[in-house]
Amino acid sequence: MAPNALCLLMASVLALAMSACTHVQTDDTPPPARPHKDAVAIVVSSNAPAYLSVAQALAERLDRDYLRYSLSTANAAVIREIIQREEHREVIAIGHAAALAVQAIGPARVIYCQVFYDEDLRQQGFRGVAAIPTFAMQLDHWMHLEPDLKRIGVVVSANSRGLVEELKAAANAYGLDVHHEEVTSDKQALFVYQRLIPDIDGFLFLPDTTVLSASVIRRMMSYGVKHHKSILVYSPMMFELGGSILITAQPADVAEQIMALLDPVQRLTAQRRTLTDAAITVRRARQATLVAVREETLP
Amino acid sequence: MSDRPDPLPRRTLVREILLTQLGYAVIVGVVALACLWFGSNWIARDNMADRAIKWAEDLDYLGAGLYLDGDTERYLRIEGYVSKFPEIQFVRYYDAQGHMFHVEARDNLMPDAALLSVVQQNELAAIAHDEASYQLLRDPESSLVGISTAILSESIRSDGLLDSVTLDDMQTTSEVIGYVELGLNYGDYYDRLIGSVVRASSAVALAFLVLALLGRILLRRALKPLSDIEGPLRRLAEGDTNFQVDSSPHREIAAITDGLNMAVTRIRERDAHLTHLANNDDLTGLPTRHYFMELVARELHDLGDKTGAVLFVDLDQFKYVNDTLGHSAGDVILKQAAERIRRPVRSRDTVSRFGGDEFAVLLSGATRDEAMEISDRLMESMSEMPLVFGTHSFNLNCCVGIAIIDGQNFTPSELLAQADMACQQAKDDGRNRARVYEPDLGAIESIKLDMGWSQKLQYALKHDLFVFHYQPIQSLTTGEITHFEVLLRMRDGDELHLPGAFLPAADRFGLMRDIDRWVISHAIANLAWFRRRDNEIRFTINLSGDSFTEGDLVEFITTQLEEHEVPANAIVLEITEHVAIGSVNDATAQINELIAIGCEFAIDDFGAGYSSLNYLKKLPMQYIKIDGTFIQKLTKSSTDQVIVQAIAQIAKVTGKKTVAEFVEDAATLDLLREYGIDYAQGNLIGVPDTRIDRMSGYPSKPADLNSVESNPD
Repeated sequence: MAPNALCLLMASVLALAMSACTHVQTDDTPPPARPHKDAVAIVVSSNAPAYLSVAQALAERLDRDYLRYSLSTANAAVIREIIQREEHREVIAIGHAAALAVQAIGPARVIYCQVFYDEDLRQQGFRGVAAIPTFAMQLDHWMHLEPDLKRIGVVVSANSRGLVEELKAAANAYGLDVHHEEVTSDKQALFVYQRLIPDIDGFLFLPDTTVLSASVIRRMMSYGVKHHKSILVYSPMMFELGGSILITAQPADVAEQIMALLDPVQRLTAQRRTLTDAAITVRRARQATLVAVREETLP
Repeated sequence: MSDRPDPLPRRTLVREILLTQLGYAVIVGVVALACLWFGSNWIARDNMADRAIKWAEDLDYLGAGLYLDGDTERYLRIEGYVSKFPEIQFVRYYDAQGHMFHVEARDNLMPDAALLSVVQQNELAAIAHDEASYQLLRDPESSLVGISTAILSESIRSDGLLDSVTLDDMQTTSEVIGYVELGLNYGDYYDRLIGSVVRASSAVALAFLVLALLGRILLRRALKPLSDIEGPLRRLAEGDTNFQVDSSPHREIAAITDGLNMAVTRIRERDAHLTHLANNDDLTGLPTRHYFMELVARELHDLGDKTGAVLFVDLDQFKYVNDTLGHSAGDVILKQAAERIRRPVRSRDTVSRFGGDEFAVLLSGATRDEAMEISDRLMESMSEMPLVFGTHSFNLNCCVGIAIIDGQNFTPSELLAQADMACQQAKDDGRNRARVYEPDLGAIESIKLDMGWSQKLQYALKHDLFVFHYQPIQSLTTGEITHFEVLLRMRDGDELHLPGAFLPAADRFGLMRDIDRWVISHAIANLAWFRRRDNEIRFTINLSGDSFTEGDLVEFITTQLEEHEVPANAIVLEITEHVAIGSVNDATAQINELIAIGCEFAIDDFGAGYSSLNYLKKLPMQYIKIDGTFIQKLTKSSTDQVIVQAIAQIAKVTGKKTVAEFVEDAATLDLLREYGIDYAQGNLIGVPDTRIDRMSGYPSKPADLNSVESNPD
């Protein structure tokens, strides 16, 4: 971090501490002595590693001052108020909650990242960075690891229709057959999933949280493992439950794409930038996870 | 009272222990079965609840298909699932608004059960997030159970997959999207459960039965040593002491068997002692008449083709010894005589004393010649040297009657009668003689007649066939009838026998004592009846010497007097001189005791025997009945007149009253008055009669009605 940015952050933290909004805390910078119109506001949904790593990568790349806010220490209204008072013109929202928290802030440009389902944000005109690499990239890696992959399945809610269309398009290029089931609840997701599994070679676990619950995720994972299906996931915790391939965004890549959106020229090229790199984790001994997975019997 | 032993009690130790064991087993069994029933029921209910929850979960899961338009098999899955479990009667699905939109019923029978109410749905929604999110409803009148639960849908917060480290950290939201309701019928399940419990109970009961039977066998084996004692105890109860119980290896039983053996030994010793006392004469130690007869019977039984002999020995002049030197001298002489009789007989022979100076000898297996030889030696033994008492010595002889036992033609009593008759014949021949009984027709008839009397007497005693006749005795001073002599008669069909016909046989067959007791009890009873009308009436009752032999005469008479409330001075007991002078054991002592309580005594037939005028001074008697032979010819015989006068004078001097019997005419009566005789008895005064007529108009009663005690009026 540049010395001027560090001083700016410390001044900002000190100013916030002296102001009436005593609940607002930045993570490690002093309050600014005056509004930082040119400083970038970085808002993280929580202190989860997936967010902090991106925030860190972004901070390393920013050529101007920034202030970082976390919803884990202040609620959305307070953060909005601070951002408005500071008159930030550019806000980076890391995570869906952070994006929602800053969506109503007047003239500031909001760039989001680490959001799986961004339809609503895009409809509001927000720019952002995809949370996952392109399906083409994913399928490329997956096919490389599972050459016999022919039929893949996805179970999602109606919210994910756009994603599914992207997937189908990408799959078509690879000659893969996509079995898509749309459900309205987690129980339906499980129900459909268990009936889908026998007919597919792999399952792409799109993280449609509206139709997923912790218990259903567990049962779906164990059921897939039990049937020796290749499961592609985006979450390390799901990978630990028996996923075959874990694909996650690289924080640096996410930060690069955000930097591109901050650039006045590049900003205009796309509303949502895709990732150009991904972290691929492959399970070598898939059966090893069976030990920890409960046996499921279909009624 | 019956002599039959009491029937054995039905209760046995084995049965009691078995019943206790069985009762305990039944209680344990019932408790076990109850526990089995309630336990299995409880487990079943719990299990059924778990199964119901599982079914609800599965149907909740299967119901997810109902919301999918493209799922063409959604109904088939539910139907297939329901058909797999006969307990599930129906399943109903409700949407989030509570409207039932699908029902799957067994056999397509639409359920009668009401739909979930709004209240129930709200309750289910309220507990939807609880661990126990189900409602179980039981129909108390049937085996129907309903289970319902809310269908929840959960979703993860939008960032959940990225900002959580673990699944459990993820924040989720949930909403009720519907309800599922199951109707379950556990009837079939409970039927099967009850069938299983019944089978298990039967198996348990059978096991108990087998155990009880096994226990019975084991218990019987364990208690067998105790049961084995039952036989010996029963034998002991029946008087058999000729056994010994084997000792048991068990300590408790051994104590019993040892005690039983010791008791048997003691009883055997006591029996032997009592038998010896009963079978042997106190004075000489020789077997008694009763025991002797048993031995003769045994000899007859074991006779085979052998012969034997019964000797009847009667001492000559023994009465003289007794009369002159007294009772104690007689006892000493009898002991010496017994030794003399015992000396010549063989070791296998038996010498018995019958009473007084009569002895009998059983020569076992002896021939006629041997019997004659032993008889001769016996007489020699008796006469070879004098018997000694103090400074006195006596040369006593004896007569022996011999009855030969040859075959089993005669009973022991008949054989003894034969020997007795032979002895009498020997006596008739002179002193120191022996004679073998030679049966002739007359003698046999005589014996048979004797035996007939014996049976008749016993029958008469048993059936009260004796009858009293009363002969009045008049005071010659006042002319008043003061006493009645009780004279015994025996009814035999239409005949009435006088004492002379049956008393000798009674004496020979040892029945005198029993007859005396019959006479005493009935005479006192009748006297009581008469005295209720005339309390001056007094009876004179004849007693034989046998009455004094048992030593309980005083107690018997006292009891009878008290029982009938008759004063002792209302009876006068007549005894013979022989008894009065103490030739009978303990007679004097008993006479004195009876006099002490108020009874009076009379010497009967005084002057007929060895009467000594000296005795008149010593005897405690109040009356002397002069023998009738002196009275019958009194008016014609000057000798009799002198004797009667002498007796009267001596009696007067010694303070005794005199009674003259056989007074037949007035001249005799006048002479008796002249001589100062106090009382007269005879046909002139009054003949013996069953009625009493002490004075004119006196109410009388036939005295042969022996029911007088119970119905005096």
